[in-house]
Amino acid sequence: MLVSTVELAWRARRGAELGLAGAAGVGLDWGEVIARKNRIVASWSQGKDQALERQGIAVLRGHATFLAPHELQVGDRTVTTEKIVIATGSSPARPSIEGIEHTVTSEELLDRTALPGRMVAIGGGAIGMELGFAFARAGLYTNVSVRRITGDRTVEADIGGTTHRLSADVVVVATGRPPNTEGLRLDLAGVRLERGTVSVNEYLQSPTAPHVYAAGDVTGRHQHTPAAWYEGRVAAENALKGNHEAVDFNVFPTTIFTIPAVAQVGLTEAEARKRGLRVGVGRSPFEDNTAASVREETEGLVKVIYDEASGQLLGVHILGPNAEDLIHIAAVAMRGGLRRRDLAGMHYVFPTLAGTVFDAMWE
Amino acid sequence: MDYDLLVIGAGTAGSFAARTAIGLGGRTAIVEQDGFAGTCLASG
Ligand SMILES: Cc1cc2nc3c(=O)[nH]c(=O)nc-3n(C[C@H](O)[C@H](O)[C@H](O)COP(=O)(O)OP(=O)(O)OC[C@H]3O[C@@H](n4cnc5c(N)ncnc54)[C@H](O)[C@@H]3O)c2cc1C
Repeated sequence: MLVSTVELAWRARRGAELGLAGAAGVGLDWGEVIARKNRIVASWSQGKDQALERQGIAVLRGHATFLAPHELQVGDRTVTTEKIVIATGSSPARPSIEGIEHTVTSEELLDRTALPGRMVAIGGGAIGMELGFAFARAGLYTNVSVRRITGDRTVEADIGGTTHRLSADVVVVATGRPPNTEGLRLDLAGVRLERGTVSVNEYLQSPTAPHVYAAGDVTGRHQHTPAAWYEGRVAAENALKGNHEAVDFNVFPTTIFTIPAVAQVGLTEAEARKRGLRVGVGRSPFEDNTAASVREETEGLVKVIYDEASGQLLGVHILGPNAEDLIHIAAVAMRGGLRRRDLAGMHYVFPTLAGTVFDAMWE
Repeated sequence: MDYDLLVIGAGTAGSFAARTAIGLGGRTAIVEQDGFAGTCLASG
């Protein structure tokens, strides 16, 4: 949400190049950006508990803790249940870096109503990269890297072998999100944890406590919203109807919302080669795309990895404008078993960004 | 037993699990210690 607002401002300012008058002066009212985010979030969560209740679900408020395999404490009451789905999510890691107390989490950062002057993001995963780009495009200097944070939010970081000292107004830590399993007393249910993660089989069931299932971030596998929807449904069905659906993440598109975004589905070239496959690679840059040129957004490319003999698509990676939407062309093709040649021969609308996906299928 | 299925956490995964379970006719409860948005809505 914030990325889209920042991107809009960034696009608007670039509009000066396209002849938009007054575009260069477009700015962000960060207080209002955050207030709007908070309003939208509130409207989404507001009434959600009543909606669940209307559907006939008993909504219990409080912290849940196991007392016995089928018995839990919720607030000051005790409840018994045949089956359990653990969907407690994840929380930001606090890595043991010297001076960690001078840092904030992504959640704390996104509640600040003023833009910091200079920000350092620690952690180059999806969240660190997104924050880095969003805030950098919002007009800040950012840096993704670290060693130690000394007193006044000065970050000592090793960059290319030399130590740099980066002084910042805010240091945000985004080094992964371990599952929320503490305080649940999962040991009393017989659930085995693997490094703090609820370990589950392909039916999302705990092998050591077969009446317990887990879904979403707490399984520590695919920490994405669509995985949480999917696993929530599969876990509940398997719990109530018996194990009949194994989770399948073979075609699972994901995106890091940098600006422009980077999206992927399937294997990388290196992963495909490591499996000993005879790999072919196709590439098409957005520079060659008329729709991208017209928008002056020619950064990036589409890269296709396929099995050389059969033309089966093994993976597609897109960096560039609308990558988060374009990736679904590849995902649908992979799901439907379409080959490289099927896509290379497609008719498509000109001029569109989608054209580059099809162009990458030619060699 | 009070319930057929008890879901812990009313974020994205928990809400979908509870709705699925009630759709299957199970006696279903969901526990939440915080707001009802979960992480996705609260932080994206
Ligand atoms: C900054 C940020 C940006 C993200 N951007 C994206 C994105 O662009 N696209 C994407 O697909 N994913 C994104 N994600 C990931 C996505 O938000 C998560 O994968 C998803 O929300 C996981 O849902 P969940 O139901 O597993 O957990 P959550 O949504 O975290 O829900 C867990 C719930 O359980 C409750 N709970 C925990 N323990 C207990 C207990 N003992 N008793 C009672 N209640 C408990 C918590 O209060 C919480 O409400 C992002 C995450 C972050 C942090």
